[in-house]
Amino acid sequence: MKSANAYGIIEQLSKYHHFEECIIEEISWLNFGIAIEVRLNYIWQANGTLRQNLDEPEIVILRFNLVQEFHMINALNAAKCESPELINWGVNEIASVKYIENSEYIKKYKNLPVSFHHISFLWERGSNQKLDVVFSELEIETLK
Amino acid sequence: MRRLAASLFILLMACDFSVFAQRRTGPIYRPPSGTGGSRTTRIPRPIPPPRFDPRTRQPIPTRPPVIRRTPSTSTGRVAGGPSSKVTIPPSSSPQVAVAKTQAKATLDQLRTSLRARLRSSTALSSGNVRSPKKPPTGGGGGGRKPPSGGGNNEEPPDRGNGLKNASQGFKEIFDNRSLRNQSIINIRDTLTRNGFKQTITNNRKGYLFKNELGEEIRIMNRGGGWDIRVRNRYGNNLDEFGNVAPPSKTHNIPVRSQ
Repeated sequence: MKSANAYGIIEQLSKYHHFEECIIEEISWLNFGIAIEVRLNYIWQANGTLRQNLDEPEIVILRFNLVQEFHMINALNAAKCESPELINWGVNEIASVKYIENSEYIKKYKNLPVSFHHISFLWERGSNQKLDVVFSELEIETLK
Repeated sequence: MRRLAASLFILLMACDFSVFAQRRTGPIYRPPSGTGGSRTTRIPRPIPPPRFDPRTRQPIPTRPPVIRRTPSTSTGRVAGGPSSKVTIPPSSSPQVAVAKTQAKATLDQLRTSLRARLRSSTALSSGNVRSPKKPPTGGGGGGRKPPSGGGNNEEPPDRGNGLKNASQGFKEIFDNRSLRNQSIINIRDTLTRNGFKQTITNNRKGYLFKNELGEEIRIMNRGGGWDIRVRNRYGNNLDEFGNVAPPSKTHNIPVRSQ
């Protein structure tokens, strides 16, 4: 499902439970860098409860088209820098995916023929770890 | 007839009835003739030789036997003779105390060796030789443990492998081994007491406890119940025992709201 307006994007995100506590499995660059795919291990069932077989990934792909900006902050602390071999999938478990309204990032793209949006992959409060994408179109697909 | 009666009287006077007394009290000392008339004196019972400890080969201290001088009887049979009487010492005497201590020590040694043999034979038969477990600490998460020494990163074998280099408060919530069904109040108390700051989670559906090391505990409200998620400073999510685990083990760990 593709969405190019704010309402559609927010609706899609809520349909997917805002990807709360889902795990980023992979990030890919597509179309010479103007598209980005984020693959998430989706942990929720349709009724809003956790899946029973969490060790078997259920991949949901978020494909961002016409990407203007992509910001990644890992905010590695001292422990992670000293022992990077101990880092595992837990680092990639996000708190939620949030649509940022009236973002400062998109003001500079107001004059362009397409509208742009800002989505943040957020980690828990107190963590500076963050992923920001400024894009024009979002496509969400569940891998069967 | 008179003659017969007189001879009988003389015969009776010559008889020695002291044989009967010897049976009851002991041998009778007879002084040599011509030194003391017909008086007899009782010989005191011999004092037993000192006993030696078989291990130390030192004499066991003994109390001298109590000698009680019996007053002279009206019969005058033992008057002037020392009559000895050995009494059994009371249970509170040092002699008995020493014997008791020695017996206890021997018994303890036997017990210890027997236990050691039993333990080794059990371990070998089961093929599982383990060090003895730590005694359980007080329940309820209230028992404070002494802070671990700096630089000692080794965890006891019963600790989860995700607790390496963890803060005191982070370790302390695993004091009861498993987080399952632990009280939220106790967990909160332990964490806030150890420097964790309490806030609301990003999705506003739970409580987040975080410290400056980056350790993170979330207590989430889902479907009418509460569950706990624990993440160490390396970003590893842990299971209920504090082990680094796959997603299925780090979710659905229920905790009690009371």
